[in-house]
Amino acid sequence: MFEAMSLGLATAFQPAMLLAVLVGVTAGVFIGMLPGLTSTMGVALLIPVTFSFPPAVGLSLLGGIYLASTFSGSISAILLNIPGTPSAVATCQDGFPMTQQGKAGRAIGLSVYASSLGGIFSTLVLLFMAPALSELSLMLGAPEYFLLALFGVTIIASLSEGDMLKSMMGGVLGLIISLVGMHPMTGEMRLTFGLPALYDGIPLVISLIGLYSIPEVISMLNDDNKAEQETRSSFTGALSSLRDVVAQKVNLIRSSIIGTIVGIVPGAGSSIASFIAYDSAKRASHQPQMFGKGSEEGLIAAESANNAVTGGSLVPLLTLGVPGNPVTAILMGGLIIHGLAPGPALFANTPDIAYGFIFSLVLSNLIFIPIGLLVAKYCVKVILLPREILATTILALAIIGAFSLRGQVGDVLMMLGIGIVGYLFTVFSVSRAPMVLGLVLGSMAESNLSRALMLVRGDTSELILQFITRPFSIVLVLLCLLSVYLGFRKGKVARPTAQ
Amino acid sequence: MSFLIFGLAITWETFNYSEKSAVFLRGLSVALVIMALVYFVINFLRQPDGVAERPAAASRTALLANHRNALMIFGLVGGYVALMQLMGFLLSTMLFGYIAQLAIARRHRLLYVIYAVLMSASIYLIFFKLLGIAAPESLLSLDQTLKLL
Repeated sequence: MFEAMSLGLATAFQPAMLLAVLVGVTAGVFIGMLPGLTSTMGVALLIPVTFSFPPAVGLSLLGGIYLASTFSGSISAILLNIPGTPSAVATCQDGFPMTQQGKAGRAIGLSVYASSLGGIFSTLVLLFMAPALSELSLMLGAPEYFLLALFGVTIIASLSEGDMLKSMMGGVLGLIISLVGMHPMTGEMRLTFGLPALYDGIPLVISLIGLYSIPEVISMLNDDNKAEQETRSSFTGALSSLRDVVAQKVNLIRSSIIGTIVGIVPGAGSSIASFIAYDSAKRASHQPQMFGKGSEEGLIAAESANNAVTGGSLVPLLTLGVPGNPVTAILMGGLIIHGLAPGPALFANTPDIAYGFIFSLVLSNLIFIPIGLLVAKYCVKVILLPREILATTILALAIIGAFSLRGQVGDVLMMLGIGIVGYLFTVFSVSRAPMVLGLVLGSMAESNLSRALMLVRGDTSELILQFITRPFSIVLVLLCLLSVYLGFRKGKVARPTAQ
Repeated sequence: MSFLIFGLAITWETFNYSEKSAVFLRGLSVALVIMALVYFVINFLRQPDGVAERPAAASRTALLANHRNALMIFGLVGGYVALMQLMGFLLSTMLFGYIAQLAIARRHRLLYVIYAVLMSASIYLIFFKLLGIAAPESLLSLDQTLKLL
């Protein structure tokens, strides 16, 4: 094994590989920053470019795009409160308040280092523990996936700022909106009102663009304070924040473990991981009241977890040939096009490519530190643009981002509709994060509940029996109960304080 | 109140679907109705006279200005989408860019024209030329003419 690893290490340091990593990371940083362009889209758009490259070089380029775009969604989240990718939604919670306090540079610094360390952690897990962990993904079935989604729902209470009941209603609204379209098992259309544009449901990215960019543009128009803009555009403290990230080692390791495990679970994804890690950090913190108001702990948790997903999601792909999310499905296509078979044979027959790819991911995680900081240093100046220029640019990018996802004008109208909902949320002081969590989890919860019920022939008592007899189900049920209990306790503690 | 009405409407709608398709959705909509009712009752009990406090005149003015801005943005986006289908991406984005800047502030009209052209060209090049995304189809399209050239 170590001989194969050293072969991979030598491959990773070849000049062509290093260049591929550099190009991939740079492209990924720009792709992730633009609302509407996700990691999936970035990898899919650039995969044809890699056809003529040697397999290891092509894979390194795609890996660089995947890692860097997962990170750089946080740049627009921190600077403008508009997440560039779904995985950066939890970052908005504390990143944007830090920018409002004049700590944009520090927030981006913390985000870059936490993302990098989270990514490196999960890549090392992929390197040394992939075969053992791949067994884990095979042991999880529909009941566990449903319980994982349910666990995510229980986090809504913890994410709520201000009125918990209002936030929970927002979360349920998100869950309902995510169910628009075809039922995963029966194929029946629901809440589509006969509109073909709604048959495939409302894509998460379109919802995110509408929910965040439209209300932010509107609030920008009401806020024309030049001095505040100057404060927000400060870019100090970015380089020195590495020490502070490392100082929070418990938070960092916990969030990276959460990200890696969620990444291994097929279908879960980085937005769920960042929310779970954010919630865990809040519960473990000595200053939970600072979360949502510019907490560095919250930012580090969300960022390290979403980048840790990248390594985790490659575990089932490389060891079993099972893609866990859309990006890894496209990467699998890339492997096959290059004549490689994902699975155990990949490590046995082509160790230089398999290990070379994994080491290139470590390099990508290191290279996006200077590139991310450099790009962010210039991006922060965007805040100083006159509001009419900034608002128009955000709107144009939001509209094109929504259109480019599926090439349908109807999607732009959908984005506008969700934007109106987002605006009403800001008017009535309802937090948007629980709604996003609902949007992420709704279809996952429903499809796995339907699948689990089908497996027990619709017998609910049999399904409940499965929940309390399968080892992973028991753990997840206990986690759900604990999360609900702590949510209620938080409500009880908060109420006398509020009064 | 909006949550309550929405929840009731969805619950009503779920009865049009088969039991298998409706069960999860109905559970959620019923939960939304219950939460909205609880919220309504709690807020009613918090105010002994049952009358909501009226916001101050200054905050009412700010709220009205906010709504006006919101309507303007919704109108601009809606108008842009309609124009895009008529004139194609490039022309409609230039027009949208200019009108949106003018609607928000009326300071440097010439700069707005230049910026609208630059912004449209940059987005066109990045999204449709570099990344190869298909441009929206339209009746009078400069984009398709450019592609032919």
